[in-house]
Amino acid sequence: MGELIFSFGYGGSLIILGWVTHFFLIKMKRNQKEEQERNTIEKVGM
Amino acid sequence: MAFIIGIIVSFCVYVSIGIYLFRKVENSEEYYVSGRSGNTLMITGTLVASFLSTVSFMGEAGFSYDGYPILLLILVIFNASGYILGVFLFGRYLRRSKSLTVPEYFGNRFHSKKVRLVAAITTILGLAAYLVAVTQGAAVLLAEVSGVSYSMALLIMWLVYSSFTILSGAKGVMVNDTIMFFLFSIATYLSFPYIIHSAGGFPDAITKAANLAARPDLLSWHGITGPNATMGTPWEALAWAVIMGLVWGAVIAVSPWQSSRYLMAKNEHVAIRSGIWATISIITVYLFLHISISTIPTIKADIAPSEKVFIWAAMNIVPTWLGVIIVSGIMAAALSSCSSFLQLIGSAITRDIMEQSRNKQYTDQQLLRASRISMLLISLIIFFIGLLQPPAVMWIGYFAATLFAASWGPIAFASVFSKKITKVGAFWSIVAGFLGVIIGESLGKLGVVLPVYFNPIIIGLLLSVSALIIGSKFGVITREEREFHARILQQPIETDEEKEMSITRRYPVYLMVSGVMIIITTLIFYYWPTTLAL
Repeated sequence: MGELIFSFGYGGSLIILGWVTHFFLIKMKRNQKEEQERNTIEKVGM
Repeated sequence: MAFIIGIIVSFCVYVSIGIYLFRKVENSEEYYVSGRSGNTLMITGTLVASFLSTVSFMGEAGFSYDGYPILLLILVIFNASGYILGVFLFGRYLRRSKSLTVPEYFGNRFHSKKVRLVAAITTILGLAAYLVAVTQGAAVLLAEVSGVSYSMALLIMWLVYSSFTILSGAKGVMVNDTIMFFLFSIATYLSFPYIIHSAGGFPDAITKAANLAARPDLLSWHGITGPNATMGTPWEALAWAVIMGLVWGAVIAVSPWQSSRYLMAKNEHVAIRSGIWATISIITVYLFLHISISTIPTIKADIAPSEKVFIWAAMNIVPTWLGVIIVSGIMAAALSSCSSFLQLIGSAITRDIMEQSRNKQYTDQQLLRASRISMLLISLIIFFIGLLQPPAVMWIGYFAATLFAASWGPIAFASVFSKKITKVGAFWSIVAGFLGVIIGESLGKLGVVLPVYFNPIIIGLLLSVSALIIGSKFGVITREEREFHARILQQPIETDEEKEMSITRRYPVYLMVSGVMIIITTLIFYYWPTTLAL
């Protein structure tokens, strides 16, 4: 049983890390948008 | 003879690259962080090459051969995660700081020379110990293969890695690391079918290994356990693998020889992509290496010391041309780590200690010269220590790595995510973590047996976190610290941001597809043959 769990868990860790990366990138994209919007507002304000 | 020629040719390539790039290094930024021009391939190459060393291809291969291949792979699940968590939680912020060294980042983050100094001292002590272990491992290998004495092999190793590192700094290290990364990856993948074939073919080789009377439980998830084994019970073995995996994950995330690679990345996207490719590479290389190593006891069960198992395979059971690639690949893994360690020690001495303690700013040319001289001196000291101390590849390697997990782990993450950490807390956190590991290890040397969940690294981590919390009750946070912190939290927008982001957003898919392929490979080459043994 432990051997079967390992067989799925070893490669499965990459799948989990794929999801982790996906969520980090979504957050990055959101921060990026906010940053760009802030820059635009600052330019208009000037 | 073929092995010697192969090694000489590879050595000549590395040194030639060092000499060629020597003329291209014009300023300290190129010498310390390769001009921050590294692309995804090169940062991946240098991340993996500086991580894998004789500890992996000799120490851990021996551990696998002794009866713990799957336990080691369980450990790898946790340590490989350190690349992705590391780059997202620390590495990319470190890169944004535009520092030339990691101690410089800590010094600037807490606006404190004391914090920078203590980070530099731990870098020098920890990496020097690791450098000794890796150099010794490579010298043992070179002596074995070439027939020269151990001291002569140590001298040759020293000449090769110190020459190209001193001459070309990070620029040469990054290029050579990438070549070395390909060399040992190819060696691992190509050796797999040959070793399996020699051990009886697929699936018989793995089935035989799972049924081997001399190594009962060799291929079970927990490896060989019991009163006379290295591991007491299966659950203790699992606890060890998880704890050491998490420790190594922290090492990958924050240690100077891994996190400093992100300082060389062209932009933040390159840093993230490299962390992802490094994870996939480590998971794949380890799977193929340790499954093939686990079948070698069915051919020869008494290789001593077991650290030589992969070298024995290279010299005895694979064709000569492949043996040459394997031996050169192991040498490459060792040399790449040695060069990274030496480069980081030299940078810490020159930039973080000499320049800071004398309170003067060197010109670029003075800094380059001072870095080269300090690297030469430190490499000579390492050479003499290696000559006088008996080789202990895996133990020293693990000890040195855990030093960084305990002393740098808490402060590295807190430096990014906490606004309440003061320089007092940062300083004592590094000191307490470092001393905690040393005290824990010393207790072991004095004969005190600590339970697996009270490993020296746990002692170090507990002390480091406590010191961070208590120490941060003292001192004030200055305006410079706040400004620096705000700056590293600000996400950089690249010129071609939309395009860069669309490329990076494909990477989670690469990870998931690789995961599915690894599951299929593990089921075919491990699970199915072991069920035939039942």
